Amino acid sequence: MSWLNQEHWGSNVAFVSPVDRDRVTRPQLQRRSWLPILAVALVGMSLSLTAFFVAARWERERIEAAFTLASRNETAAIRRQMTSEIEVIRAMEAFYSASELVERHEFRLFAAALLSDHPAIRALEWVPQVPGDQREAFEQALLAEGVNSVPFKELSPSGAARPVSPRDAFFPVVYVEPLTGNEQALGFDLGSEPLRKQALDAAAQSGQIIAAGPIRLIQEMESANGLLMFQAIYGPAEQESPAPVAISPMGFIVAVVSVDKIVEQALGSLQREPMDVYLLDMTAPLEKKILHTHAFDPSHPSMVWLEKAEDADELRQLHHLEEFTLAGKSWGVMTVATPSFSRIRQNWHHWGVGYTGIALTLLLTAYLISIAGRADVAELALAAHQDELHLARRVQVGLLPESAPKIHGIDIAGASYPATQVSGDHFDFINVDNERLGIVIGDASGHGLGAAMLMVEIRACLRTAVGHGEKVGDILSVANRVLSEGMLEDRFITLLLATIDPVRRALVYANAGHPTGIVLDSHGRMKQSLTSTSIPIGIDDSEPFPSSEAIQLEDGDLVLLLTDGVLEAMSRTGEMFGEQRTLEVVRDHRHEPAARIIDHLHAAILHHCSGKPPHDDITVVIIKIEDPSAATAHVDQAASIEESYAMAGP
Amino acid sequence: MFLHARTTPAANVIEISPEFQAYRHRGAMCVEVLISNLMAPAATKRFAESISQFIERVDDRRFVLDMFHVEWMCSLMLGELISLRKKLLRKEAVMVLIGLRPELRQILTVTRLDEKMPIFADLESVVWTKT
Repeated sequence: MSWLNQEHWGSNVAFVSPVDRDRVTRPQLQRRSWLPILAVALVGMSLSLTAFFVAARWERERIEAAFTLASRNETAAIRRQMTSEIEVIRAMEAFYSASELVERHEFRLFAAALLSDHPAIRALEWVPQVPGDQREAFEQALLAEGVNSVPFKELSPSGAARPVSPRDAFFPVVYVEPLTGNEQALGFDLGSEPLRKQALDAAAQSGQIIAAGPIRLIQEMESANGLLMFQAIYGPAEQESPAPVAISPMGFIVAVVSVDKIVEQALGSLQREPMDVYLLDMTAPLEKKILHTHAFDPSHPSMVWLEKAEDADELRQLHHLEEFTLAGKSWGVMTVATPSFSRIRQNWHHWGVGYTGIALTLLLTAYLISIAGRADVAELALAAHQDELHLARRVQVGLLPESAPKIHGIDIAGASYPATQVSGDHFDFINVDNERLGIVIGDASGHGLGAAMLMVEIRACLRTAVGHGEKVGDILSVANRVLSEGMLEDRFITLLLATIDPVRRALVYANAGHPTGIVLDSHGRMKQSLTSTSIPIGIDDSEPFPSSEAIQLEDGDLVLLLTDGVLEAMSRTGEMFGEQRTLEVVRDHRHEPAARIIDHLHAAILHHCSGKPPHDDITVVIIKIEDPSAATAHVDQAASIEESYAMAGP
Repeated sequence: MFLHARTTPAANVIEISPEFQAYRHRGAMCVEVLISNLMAPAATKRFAESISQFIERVDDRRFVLDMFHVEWMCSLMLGELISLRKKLLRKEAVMVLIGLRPELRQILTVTRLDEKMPIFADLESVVWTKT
């Protein structure tokens, strides 16, 4: 006697994984592209080099700024010193202007006081203008004064002193201070020498201090580089004239100035910088331009630039030229940095920046390569894990019934919707004996691979245990004893095993801590609750699992079995789907085929979750009682149930 | 999400962690669970580990697990409670639950686990039996 054979298996079974089983293929490891790492390395190198050049430019600009500042300081110092020397001549001019007649001893006293504070002025002279016709009278007056400087003298082409030739006017040195060392200057006619005469004329015409030089000093002082500074002195009547320059002066104050002393005195007050300083006469021809050289290292002066002094910008060395006008002459101070100027200021930061950038780039590149390598390993591991999951899912799908038993008068359908690739939920149809169909729905604690493995085990246990017990409770007891051995303490399985006798339409169940099943009558009213009869499986190996009394099913009755994933499906607001909504959906569609009711229920759950995937596996089994006469007729024709399951089973 | 104690007498607290705090009251070790949501596997695992370490350190025979702050728990947490009960049984200790919300109480009732882990409303109403 049998009510079931192969052709009676329907298709009302579904196992829907988050990934469509047909589309799941073994993940392939993508060939890694090294382009991003190469790009990072190139960008890093470029940035490092850019940073190096920028830092080097900043450093160069910093050194140039320091050099410019030092150069300006030195130029200003020289200019200040020259101005200070000029003030001595102005003092002498004032002295003469305030006196009707300056006697020799007065000149000496006043000049000596000034010279003591100005060592750069090697001599101060009084040079009267003597008309040609008054020469003899002037010379006689000097002789009477006891000055042995007559007659007035000039230098011959050979350089020897000789009496002056007759001319319109003479400009003899009559006072000189200090006299010692300058005796030869007394009586020397400045008008006899072209350069000095030119300066005398310029001073007479301008009324300003006029510098002449460079000249070889007649006093033969230690330095060949000297300057003469001329200041015209006018008589009292001439001073009151609105245009004194148009009148011939009574004489001149002449200062003999040592250029060397001026420069050394000026720079001596400053911090010594490693640079060479040149005082230039900008009006002089190239070969006579340099008035004084102040070399940081006298044995290695930076003289190379002299050849190109007209175009100093072409110099490769760091240099600075500043010009100024003083005493009717254009001066220049040229500073040239020695190699040590840059060396002592160089901080090498740009090299540090460059090397650090390159080192960081190399480290980053190495790290990225390492990460890429680890990513490869991780991807391989992930691929292997996914492969295993894929295999596990295939195994689990294979363990579910390929189709539901098709029994005349009874419509059975089941579906499972895992939260992950594999499910902790399970349902199964087992032939308990030749008269009863066993229906299993279970849920292992947790979900995922661990739960799925538990369900595989319980399936095997149940299929083995059906041969060891008449009652469903006994079957669960056997399965519980087997599973409790070696099962992890924190794992358990809730499970409902029901048997249906299609001939007698009797349902008996044992519920091991599983959510309550529902039996609705043809009007959708609650007919029976399949409440828990024991604790879950796997907790206590000595736990009894009692069976329920037989429940008589009638036309139109609907048995709903589900897992907690249905009731606990949560909306975005945290509201559970719950028993009430479940029953409403089932009642509304109770006249439709069992598989369609499950579809409606699943759609309602998804709608409740607003597209958010349910956090737990969802499994539903529905059994509908339809036509009793058809079931009876079919039982008579069918072969044994065991044969049928053997043919249809996995 | 962690909540903080509601009525725990601070002076009696002998153990505290992010997951729970414990104190002795009328001869029982009361463990107040401070995690509100025991749905995430990581939170469940952390709770299980910390409380397992704790019960190994104390010699009490009566444990009260105060679930007042727990809003919901998954089946993994249910498994951890069962595991905790078994560990205590091996130490010849017993465990009861208090402060359960109705929906959590229903889970234990449906699964009949309330037969293994007695449920009481609060600390004062706990009745200790040999089982």
